Amino acid sequence: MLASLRNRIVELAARYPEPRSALMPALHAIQAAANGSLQKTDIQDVATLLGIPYAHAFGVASYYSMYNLAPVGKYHLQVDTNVPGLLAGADDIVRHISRRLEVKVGQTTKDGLFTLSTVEDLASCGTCPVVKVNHRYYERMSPAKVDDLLASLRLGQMPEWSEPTRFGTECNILLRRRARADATSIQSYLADGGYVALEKALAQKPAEIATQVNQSGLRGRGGAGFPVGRKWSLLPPGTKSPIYLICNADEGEPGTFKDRQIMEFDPHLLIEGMAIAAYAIGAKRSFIYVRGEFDWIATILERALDEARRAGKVGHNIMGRGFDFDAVVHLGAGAYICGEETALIESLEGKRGTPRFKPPFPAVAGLYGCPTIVHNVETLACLPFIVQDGVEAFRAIGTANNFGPKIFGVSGNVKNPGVYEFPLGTPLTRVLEAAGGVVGKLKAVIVGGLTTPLLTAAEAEGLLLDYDSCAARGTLLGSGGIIVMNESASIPQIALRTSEFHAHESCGQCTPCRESSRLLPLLLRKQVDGRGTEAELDMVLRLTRDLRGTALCPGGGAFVTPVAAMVTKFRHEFLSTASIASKAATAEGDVGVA
Amino acid sequence: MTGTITIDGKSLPFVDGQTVLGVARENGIHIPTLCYHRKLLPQGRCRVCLVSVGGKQTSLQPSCTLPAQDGMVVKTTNDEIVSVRRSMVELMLGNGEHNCIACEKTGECELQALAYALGVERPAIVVEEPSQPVDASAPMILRDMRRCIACGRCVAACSTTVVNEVLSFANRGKHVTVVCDNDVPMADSTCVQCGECVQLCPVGALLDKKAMGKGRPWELRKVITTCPYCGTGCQLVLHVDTRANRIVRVTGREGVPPNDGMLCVKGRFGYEFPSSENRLTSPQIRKNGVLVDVSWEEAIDFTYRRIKEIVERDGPDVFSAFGSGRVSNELNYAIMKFTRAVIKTNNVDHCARVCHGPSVAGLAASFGSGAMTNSIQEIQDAEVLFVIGSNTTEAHPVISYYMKRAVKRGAVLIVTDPRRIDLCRWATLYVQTKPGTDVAYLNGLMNEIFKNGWANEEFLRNNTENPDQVRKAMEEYPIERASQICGVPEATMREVARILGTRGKVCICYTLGITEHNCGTDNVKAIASLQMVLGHLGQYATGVNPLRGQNNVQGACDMGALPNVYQTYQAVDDPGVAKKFEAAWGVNGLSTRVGYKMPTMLRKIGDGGTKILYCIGDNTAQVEPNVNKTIEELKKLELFIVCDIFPNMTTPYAHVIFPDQCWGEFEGTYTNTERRVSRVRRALDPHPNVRPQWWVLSELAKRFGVDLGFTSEEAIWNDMQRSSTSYAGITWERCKDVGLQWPCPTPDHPGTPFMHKNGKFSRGKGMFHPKQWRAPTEVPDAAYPLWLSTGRRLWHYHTGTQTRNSVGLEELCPEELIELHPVDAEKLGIRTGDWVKVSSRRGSIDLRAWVTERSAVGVTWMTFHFAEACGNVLTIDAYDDVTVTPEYKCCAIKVEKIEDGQLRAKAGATERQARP
Repeated sequence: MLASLRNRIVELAARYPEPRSALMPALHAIQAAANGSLQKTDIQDVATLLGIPYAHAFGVASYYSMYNLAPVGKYHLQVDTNVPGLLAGADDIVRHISRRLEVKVGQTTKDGLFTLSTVEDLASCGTCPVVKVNHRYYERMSPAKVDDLLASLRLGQMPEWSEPTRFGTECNILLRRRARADATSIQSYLADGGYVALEKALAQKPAEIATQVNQSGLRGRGGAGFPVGRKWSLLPPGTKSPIYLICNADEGEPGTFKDRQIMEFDPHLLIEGMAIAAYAIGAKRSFIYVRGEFDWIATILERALDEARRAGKVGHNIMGRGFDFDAVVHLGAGAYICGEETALIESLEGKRGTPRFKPPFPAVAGLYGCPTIVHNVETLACLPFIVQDGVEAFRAIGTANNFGPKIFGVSGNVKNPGVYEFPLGTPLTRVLEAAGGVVGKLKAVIVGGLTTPLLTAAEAEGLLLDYDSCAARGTLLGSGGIIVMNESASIPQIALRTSEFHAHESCGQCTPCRESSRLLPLLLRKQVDGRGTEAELDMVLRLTRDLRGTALCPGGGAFVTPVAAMVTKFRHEFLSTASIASKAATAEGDVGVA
Repeated sequence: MTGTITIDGKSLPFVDGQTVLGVARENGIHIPTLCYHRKLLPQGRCRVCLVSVGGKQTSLQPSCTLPAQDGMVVKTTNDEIVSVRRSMVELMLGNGEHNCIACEKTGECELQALAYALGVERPAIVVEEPSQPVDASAPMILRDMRRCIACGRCVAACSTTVVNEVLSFANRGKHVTVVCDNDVPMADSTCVQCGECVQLCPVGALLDKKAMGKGRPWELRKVITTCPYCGTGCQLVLHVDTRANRIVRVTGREGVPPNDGMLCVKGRFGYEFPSSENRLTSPQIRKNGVLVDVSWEEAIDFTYRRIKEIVERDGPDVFSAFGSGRVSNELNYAIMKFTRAVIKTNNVDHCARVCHGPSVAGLAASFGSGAMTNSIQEIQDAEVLFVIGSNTTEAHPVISYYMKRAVKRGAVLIVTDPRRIDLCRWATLYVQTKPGTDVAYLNGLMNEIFKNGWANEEFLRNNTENPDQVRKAMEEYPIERASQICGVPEATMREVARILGTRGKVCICYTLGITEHNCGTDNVKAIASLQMVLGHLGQYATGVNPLRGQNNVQGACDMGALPNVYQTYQAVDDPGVAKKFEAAWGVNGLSTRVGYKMPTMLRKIGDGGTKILYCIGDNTAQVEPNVNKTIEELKKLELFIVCDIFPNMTTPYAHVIFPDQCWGEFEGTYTNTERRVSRVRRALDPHPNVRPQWWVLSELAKRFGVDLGFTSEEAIWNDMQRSSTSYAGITWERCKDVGLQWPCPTPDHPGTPFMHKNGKFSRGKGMFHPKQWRAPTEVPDAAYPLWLSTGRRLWHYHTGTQTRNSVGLEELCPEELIELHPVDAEKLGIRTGDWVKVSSRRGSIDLRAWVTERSAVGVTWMTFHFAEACGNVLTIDAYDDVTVTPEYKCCAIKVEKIEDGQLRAKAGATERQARP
């Protein structure tokens, strides 16, 4: 290993309370320095350097999909083929690249220039199809743009294309500054009244801030909608261990691309929100866990933190109030399940990002076993408004028990996919209108991201977008990732893609999730290919039933509940393909139901 | 906090921290589990222990991870639960190849048992997928991932019970698998083949390779016994094929101290030697210069005649006897009693003389008792572990597991050693000292501790006799001076002192790196002083803990196989004690003159002071320093009687050879390093022409007209126990299941896990013996420029007779290697694998070299396990001035290259104990 790299890793280790946490950044650094893939010897060297057993380091390197243990081409083309991509024609892009480069998915061109991969959700649902080349996103791709891209790459040039997400805001809180040209700079943030809320917060006692946040009724925006105030109240009173605050920026729920809007275009809003939260809960050290694919966003956040440090808004004794706050930006490496807070904590500790069982909850024993509060980006970004404008102003937005603004990501078969900020409780139809309306006729809609049960057009009628209304309709508001499907969408195809997402993202820890993730895609593939049987369709339902409420983490059930909903609500569609199969030979199948 | 939960309608109390599964198990309520194991943290992976929780609204929760809460209502079975459990089992059976007919695990497989209990006949879905290859690369363990259910027990075991940290999960989702290191075959990994993963695997994914096909569990007889290797005294289960009269497998006994099921590669896999073809199976006597097979009658008559002739001619003191740290308490007592009651001399000693003699002497002088003060399992709860002169992972592997566990629990580990041993991987601080400088190092630390006011003044005042003497004496060892002598940077020494003085309760462990010096007893006294200055004695997880090297070396001392004491340290020169034994044994004229120590016995051969040596289980030629000199001495004996299980370097010089019964063939007891007396059991029918040595001694005694009263091992034990002190409460019956720790003076005494409770020493108050540093006898010079230090390897034991007659250990470590630092190697033009000639002033040997940074510059290292390249050809016959323990740890040598070569072991095997 190069001395410079070694020094870099030692530096990285110093950023964390425990050096082991530097494992993932260290592997990123080595991979970047070594043509995009990791050698076993490199992994061993990092392990030695950080005092980690070889096997544990290898376990980590092989867990995350962004670490390449096999060599990749100079340009690693990664096409997001998850459901929003599927609906936008991502499969055509894959086929097109495959034809152009004469490689199959997973292969590298003979000249070593290109490797073609398909990947799961890149949080680019409003701008898909998306092709990620090494670390850069190329969005709103078409076959023609692919040709331009390949031509440019052959010349050794990574084009500087920008395809910003469409947006709209009714609330003007979270996306207020989205249109500002230099929104990321601290000068503009300060000019727009930034960090005033923090100053206001620091003038009060932490408990007072906690009370206000509790009274605001703010619910977590990551998916579960858990009240923030109640989460804070779980912290053990008078604890002597350090308290950690973690911002969950591992935005990976298919259909969701809202947090990146805040981080990319208004990073100081998040930083200010974090500082307020850290002050309220007594956290001295904070972390922003950003999904690995967002490395340019990590750079934006680090730059913003630097600016804020220089401006005295972050660091030691902020604004002379005797309060210390700082955050480490930690990059993930491709694992959906790290969006689950305990898996995120494991990952941040430099381990395989597998969920922990609860209890204990992170508020009691989280990062390094210390009390830890984990919040979604959007949740934290609400805090400056609550402190600045007050509890009542916040409660004036939304519906009872569902207060405040919410960013909805709209993707799939709508005219203008994008992010739209509305009060909670806004009718679905209004949000879809903001997105230009459904293209064609609505067949089904997912409102909370791919891991929530879809609703048929009839079920979605008159739906209000808040936690309680969605629950009443048998689904979840989740992260507010709305995926719209029109009549051209094949539900069996979407079910298969959902189960493939499950197979790719199951951590493999517990039996039912691991094993059903192995079996469901095989069974659903047969359905899609017209080789499936009714018994196999029932087996699909049985597998989904066996996983609900039995997995180690909420993820297990979340992966299969939507599949169950698709099979149940659109059984005729599966059976129509299955009936084709019953005529065809079933003996050739690789799956047999006893 | 406590409370009550309701399980299946029963109201059950619990204490805070208990899980639902824990409460259920405690109350005999069965909940099936697969990933759960008592020794591991709950994992919640398999999901078969799901139970229904709640009153009106119920949910399924894993009972293994769910903390019991007051008022909780739990159902362990209902239709839904059974359905889910069946599903889990069906899913597991559907992945991989679960073929019970062919599987070695049948009958012990937990998945099989659960499928049977739930009535699951076949998997729900079978998917044809390429199966994972079987990893049969390692000599002892077979990995068959086709049968893995990803329960994680092996990974958790490797990481948290034995803390070898070789296994991990790799990949994700359905691709999850278990790998060694960075996904290499087990044989190429740093795996030390301890087999804890095999023991904890609930299915047939990890198997004892050597046992495969050797018998189903119900066909094999299970015999519980004590391990025949190091002094840890691990408790084993032998799996015996009674028809073939062979041990075919060994497992660790779960839930029993000291090892709680854990073993090392020797204990788990070194079990074939009793059935080796190489065993001695006939008595022999030398006729016309040649050893020939004779009848037992003839051999015993001959021996009796010769002893009688010589002793009548030259007096009883020309007779000397060796007991052994490797034979049972009963046999040590038998040779001790024979020597004293029949021959009437106190010339009996054993190999503790060449290892922990200084511990016995030094600690007895300081505390009043010369054994490990605390217990093995306490080590895992230590706050600060100070390990000096102990290559624990190799010499006492199971004890090292507890040390590493302590580190995982937050303990500070300081390792002091001239070599960067494997334990350093887990150390907070590794301190490299120059060979033979321990007194200076320890004195320097005490100086710093006094200087900073970190001494435990209350303990010094209340519990020690002469604190001012040590305080004054240590003034001569300021850090600057100590550092110059021991080669440790001043800052490091200050840091060590600071940790010892301020970071919590200190537990000191040491081994032969302390004792095998010309100043061994001084070293021990310095350690005792350091701990008295710190005051961490007489409490749980503290103390001064010499880790004894052999299975029964503690017992051999306790049995009085020493020239100065009867059993349990009753002094021979006390006329009252002699009278007591005359009465107890029914004899007259017991000698009250202290006998010769082992090296004295040998030295006196030269001047005719020793004419007879009755040697039980010692292999003297190979273990004493300066082999050439030892052999010359042995050759001069008039009568040399050797009792052993294998021909060895010593047997060729015998006049009489008595083949002994081997471990596995006799009943008896061993006393381990933590003073625990554990039973050893007969598992095999002894070779028909091999006799117990106590019977031989008894027959000899009869011919001398003395009835020793030996009719069985139990009778010998009772005879010993009757006249003992600290063993008086340890009856044959009481230690039949779990061993008892002495002192145990009465039959209702529970035994003593840690001694000197509350600083009340056996001798009253603790006594300081401040010592001055002295240089080793022989130091490197121009002619012999390198240090040689000696020790033990993980894969072998003593002179290799047991380990080299067991399958697989020789494959892992087939040859002796001299370890050299790269700097020295480069100067000499030597690379790993090259043949070299190593010479000292006493002899030379040829062997291959291993160039490794675990040696310090200028320091080389090897062992005496291999007769063909035995380090003791080189070692110096210089001795500790108190106990006459040889200075095995320091002598001067030179190394010359002979020719290029390559190691015989597979790549990686040797390096398992030298990871960076």
